[in-house]
Amino acid sequence: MTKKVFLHEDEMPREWYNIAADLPHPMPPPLHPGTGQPVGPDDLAPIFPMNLIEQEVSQERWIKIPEEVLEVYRIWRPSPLCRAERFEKLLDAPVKIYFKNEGVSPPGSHKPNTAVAQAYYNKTFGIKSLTTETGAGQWGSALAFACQLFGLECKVFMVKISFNQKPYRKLMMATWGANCIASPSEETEAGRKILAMNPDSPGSLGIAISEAVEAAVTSGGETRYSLGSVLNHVLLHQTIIGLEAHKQLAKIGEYPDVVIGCAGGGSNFAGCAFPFVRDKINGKEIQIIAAEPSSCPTMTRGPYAYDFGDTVQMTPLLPMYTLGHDFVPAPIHAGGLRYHGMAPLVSQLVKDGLIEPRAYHNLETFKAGVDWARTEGFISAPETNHAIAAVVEAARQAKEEGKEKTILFNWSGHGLVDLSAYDAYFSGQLTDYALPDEEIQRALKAIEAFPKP
Amino acid sequence: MLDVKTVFDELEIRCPRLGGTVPFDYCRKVANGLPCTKALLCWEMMFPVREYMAKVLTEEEWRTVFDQPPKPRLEVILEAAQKASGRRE
Repeated sequence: MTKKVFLHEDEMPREWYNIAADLPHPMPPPLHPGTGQPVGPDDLAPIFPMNLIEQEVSQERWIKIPEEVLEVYRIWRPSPLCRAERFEKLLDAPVKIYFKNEGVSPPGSHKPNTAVAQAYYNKTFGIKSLTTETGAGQWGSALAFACQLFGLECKVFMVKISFNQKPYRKLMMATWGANCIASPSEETEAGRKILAMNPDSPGSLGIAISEAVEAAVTSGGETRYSLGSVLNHVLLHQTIIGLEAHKQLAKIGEYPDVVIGCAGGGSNFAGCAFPFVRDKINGKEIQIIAAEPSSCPTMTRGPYAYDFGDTVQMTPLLPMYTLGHDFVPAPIHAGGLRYHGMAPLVSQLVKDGLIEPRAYHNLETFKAGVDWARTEGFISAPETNHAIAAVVEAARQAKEEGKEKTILFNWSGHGLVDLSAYDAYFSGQLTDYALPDEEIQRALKAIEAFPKP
Repeated sequence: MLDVKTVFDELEIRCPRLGGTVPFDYCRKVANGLPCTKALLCWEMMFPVREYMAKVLTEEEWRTVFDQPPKPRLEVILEAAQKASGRRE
């Protein structure tokens, strides 16, 4: 049995795949919040370089990967396609499981696939410096690495609560020459305003975005902003994952019945899945699953939140609270709405029925991740554990159906800088139901004592 | 918003936006003292967060936080750029 399938460096794909060219229903253009008109290149020009803006709106199916980008990709690409035979044995189901190991990149995740491309395009556009925001630091690390290789300065605004929790991320960025700043900071008007109101503000992703964007647009033209998820060009750059997997599976005469990725902003999922979604659009029978946390669902239940209407029409409290493993995602009944925080391209494909979103509980994702580490060895990033939980479910389903299936998933990164999350799991801090009912009622009653604001 | 400490404040959850653990105390006042727009979705499986929010928020605050369609990321970025340009001028 072949454990790893490699591609030679000269077999690396030379083009990214742009799914915008194949969408069954074209996406409506994003609207400018100020004018209400479709966003045009001029609106984006102070924020992104024009060569990336062209990719953002491109309808070309294939976009050439510049030689300079391929040269950097060669540091870790093509990434291996691996067979998870030990995990298969553990699951005892009629499945073959293959995974793309994106944890082999220097920052340890899939993120540099776009960070490198974005650094290159900014450099060729004459930009000297990039800014960005980061939550956990995975994206900030990737951009720091990429900027260093292309001789760009890099400033990363990291949400303060994470900055304090994850000192190693800051050190990774510093090692690659980037300046990682806790947000809110004194460096921007947006940051100063927040600090003036609350000097102890732990920050938020929104504040960090404001700071990073402000630092770019007020730089006098030498700095641009960079984003590691959600946008079309980001997803485009990630498709090298799925394109490589396509070739690697063909080398061993395989084709997946199920493709799985975890979906936060959508980029790692899209990177692995989009080349296979293309096959599905062209008639191939294939199941494509986007795995997300049930504790904060975006695709499986996100739109439901739009329909709260008012407090009187709130959805019933108790049934929500008692949802457990048998939880059936609420039907998507907000046609046309996009999912908050999720890439519009992924949202559109969910709406078109080409992708199935699934939600997984914290505990089952960590259980899957620990089982994975104890069989395949690799310690996954917590987000990646959602994909592994989806693999477990797909295998169970294959067993119940008595069908042999081939599963491909994106192992999007290692969790070696996020071991505190494993600590929380092992020490029992991560629970799906944290408080006994009595205590909940006591706390709610305590609030009654205060006047309604 | 009524700012009352309760036992809920110490509960922790993994925030998918930040990729790290945050206490409820963070989620309930992260947006200039108001809750994160996703607080209901994230916390409803841990405790009756809707009931809690209905008690501590005014109707206006509830509408502002939970009844507005969340903004797409590109819109957030464009708004930030617009504000920053305004400050520069």
